[in-house]
Amino acid sequence: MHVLIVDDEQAFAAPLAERLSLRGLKAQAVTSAEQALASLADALPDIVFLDVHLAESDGISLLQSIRQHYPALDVIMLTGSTDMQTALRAMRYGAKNWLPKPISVDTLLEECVKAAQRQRQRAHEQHLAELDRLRSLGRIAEGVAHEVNNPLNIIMQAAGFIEDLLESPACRALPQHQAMAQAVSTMSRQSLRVRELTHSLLMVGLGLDPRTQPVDVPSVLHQTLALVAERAAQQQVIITEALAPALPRPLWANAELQQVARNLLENALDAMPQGGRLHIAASLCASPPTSMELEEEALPEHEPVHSYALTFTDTGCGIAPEQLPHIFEPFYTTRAHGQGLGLAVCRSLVQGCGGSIRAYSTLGKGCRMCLRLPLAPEAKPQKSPPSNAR
Amino acid sequence: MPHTTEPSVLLIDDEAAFVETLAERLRLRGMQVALAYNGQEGLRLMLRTMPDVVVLDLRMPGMDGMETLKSIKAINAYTQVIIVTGHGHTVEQIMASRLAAHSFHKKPLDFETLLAAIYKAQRHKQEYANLALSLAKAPDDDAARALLKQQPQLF
Repeated sequence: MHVLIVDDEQAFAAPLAERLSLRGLKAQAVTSAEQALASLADALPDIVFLDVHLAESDGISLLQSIRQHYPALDVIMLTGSTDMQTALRAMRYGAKNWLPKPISVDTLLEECVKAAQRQRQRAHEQHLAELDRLRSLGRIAEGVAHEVNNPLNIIMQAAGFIEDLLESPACRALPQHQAMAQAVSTMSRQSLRVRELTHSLLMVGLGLDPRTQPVDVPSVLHQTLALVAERAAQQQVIITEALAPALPRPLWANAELQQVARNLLENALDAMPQGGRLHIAASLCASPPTSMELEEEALPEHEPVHSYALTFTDTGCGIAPEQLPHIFEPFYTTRAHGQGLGLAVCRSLVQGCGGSIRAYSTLGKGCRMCLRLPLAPEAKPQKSPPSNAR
Repeated sequence: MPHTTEPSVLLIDDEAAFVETLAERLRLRGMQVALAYNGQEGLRLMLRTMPDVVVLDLRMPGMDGMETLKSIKAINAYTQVIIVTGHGHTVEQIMASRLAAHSFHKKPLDFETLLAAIYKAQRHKQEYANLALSLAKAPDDDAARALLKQQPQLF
């Protein structure tokens, strides 16, 4: 957790920052509004402690400009013990709390804990809002797919009927027979392309087969690997695995794992046209970090405590940092000929079983896709709380 | 009823443009095809023609596909019903298979797949009927059980 203390009394702020650092926080003390704004522009902290009285400008106007530029940032005011008026004004301008001086390190730590909770809550809400958005996108996609499917069904049968009729001796004798046969077979072929698209659209919204069971991941993956083995060999991609067959099994549907694995494997191969390595590993995941520290990779609270982790690591071209947050969105693609549905389908399938999927990448070095899947109930350690995953 | 090796088929679907073309294509392959645009009409034709196979749309105005499926099975349990649907929700698929639908297909329909399904359904109908006949003739339970074991593909 990153803390910024803004106070013109160097003798007060610096030791406080040092004591917070000793407790494992990343704390920085600055003495003026300019320094504070410069520090904020440089790296955003998780919480700001702000003195209401600064030497050149007052703390309230700094509070206002922080609230304006960084509305999600938590600001706690530090005031003199008699300064109720200013404290109230600060609260009106959006400070989260005010602390009368003198201030103990424990009080500051308490505020940090609260800020971390608020942050987690916000992240959780954001996650829910995003899920909601994806769900409505899925519904729209589903609606479009159905509207397209009906006329497409009629077109496909009509084209097939013409193909049937062209087989009759009378039609075969026509001089334009071959041209007609060609045209109608083009119609059929192109209709199949549209059908493929509408079927993948439908899968953004729904799963393939809801029958979940403890899944034998290694054997399902071996079947899927067999499908891409030839392509991997052609591209000189070496596939290695560490799948530990004796691990407890995750609760999922074979077909869904297959679908997700196929997508991830094909993506990895797309990223390594000049050869490379692809490593697939399975392991059990420990509990999420419980410390106050909010790391980037800390697990959100809704994630199961004990889970099955499956990673696909390639040494391909990687994903640019500005693209990374968007790769799971439907219709987002970095390829000229992609539909942008592969990873959206993957995520919807993984989340459907109560799991999660994340991507980590360094441009030019490669990419790692991490799946976390809930374990099948009987495989769970007994002390774990009952899971609400189906 | 004329005796023929080609299956007799009843199509029930409210999408006229689709089902009429489908009927023509099946007739071209020598099948006897009856055509209905809703559930009630379908059941009337069912009683009159007693087809080997019914191709049934699940979503229809009026009597819906599930109801129609139940009634068809009640009229003749040997008649095989192939479900065709534009939605293909898994729940529907499970419900249909509980109601003893023979197979389940999503629109847009692949004609070759449907054709194969119709022939297979006809074969199964014949096998069910033969099995029922031999079960009726079986002298005791053990003989009946042995008969059932010989037909694993039907269950």
